[in-house]
Amino acid sequence: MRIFIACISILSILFASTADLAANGALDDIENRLRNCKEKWCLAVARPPIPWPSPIRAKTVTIEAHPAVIFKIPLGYTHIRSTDYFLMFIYGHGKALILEELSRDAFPELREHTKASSMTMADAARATFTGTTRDKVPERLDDRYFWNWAMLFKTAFFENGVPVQASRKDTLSAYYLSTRRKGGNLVNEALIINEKSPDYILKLKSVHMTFEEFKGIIGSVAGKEAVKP
Amino acid sequence: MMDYKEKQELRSILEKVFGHAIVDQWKMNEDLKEVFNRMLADNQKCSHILDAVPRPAGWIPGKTYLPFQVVTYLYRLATHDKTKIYWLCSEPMKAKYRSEFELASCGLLH
Repeated sequence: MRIFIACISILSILFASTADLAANGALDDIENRLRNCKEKWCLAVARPPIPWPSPIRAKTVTIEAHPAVIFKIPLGYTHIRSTDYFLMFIYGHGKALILEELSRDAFPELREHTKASSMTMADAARATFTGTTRDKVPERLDDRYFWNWAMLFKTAFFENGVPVQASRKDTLSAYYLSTRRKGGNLVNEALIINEKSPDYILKLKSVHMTFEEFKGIIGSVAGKEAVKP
Repeated sequence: MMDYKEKQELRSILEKVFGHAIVDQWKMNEDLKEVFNRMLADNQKCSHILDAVPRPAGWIPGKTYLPFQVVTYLYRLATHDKTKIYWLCSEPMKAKYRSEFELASCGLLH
């Protein structure tokens, strides 16, 4: 019986080592290709920080649905749509404001592969906006997964070459941009980090809303301690 | 216009990516199909980054370069399953496209 248990233990260790070796090999490939990536998004970073935007002046309602931040949005919406980690306020004439929670809970594969990571969602988001694919990659396996996730997430913000603004206030960091799409649709996007609640990122997005109004929403953001476990 | 079968197929694929609870709320329409096609193209670009190819030597390749690269390539192929890391493409895609699908479903994409 002891021999059997010893064999199983040895096999388990060997299997785990092989799995780690395999994962490291796969990540070597990705990192090597990312390091040699010639596309703009690979090397693009946010602009140097500018002052925090002024808070919105219109009539507002305070939103406390996000675990890490509270903020104000304009009144006048006619519908609210809510699903997992997602909240959308629909105004008239195609105008809408979207709130998304980016956390490990929202991305099961990320959660599964970064259990032993020392990186937080805030670290990953910061890497997305201030790091490049040529930067030094963390050494531990789970950190490497997180880092590569953050690098591949860069395409969401830097693919079209639109400049990404950055602002900081106390424990808050905001990265935001405005894009006019084919057909004239104005789309604004932002990622907001609160260092005091680094496991939860707020992603904001608006359509048919002026950039000034959108920045006013960012300007109203205040941090709070995460209430989720 | 998508027919019923196409809508069902699209829903089924999206459920595998985003999960039933989220996709169940979405109306399958042309805008949503457009977003899906964009996501698919993006995902293919990302998958290309993950594909295994012989690594650049970094110096002028010697005679042993190619056989060595082939051996390491075969070793890597044998020791890991690439499908296990494709989540590194699909999860950032989810973060990038979730809102686009929601907008498309509500007729607010354009």
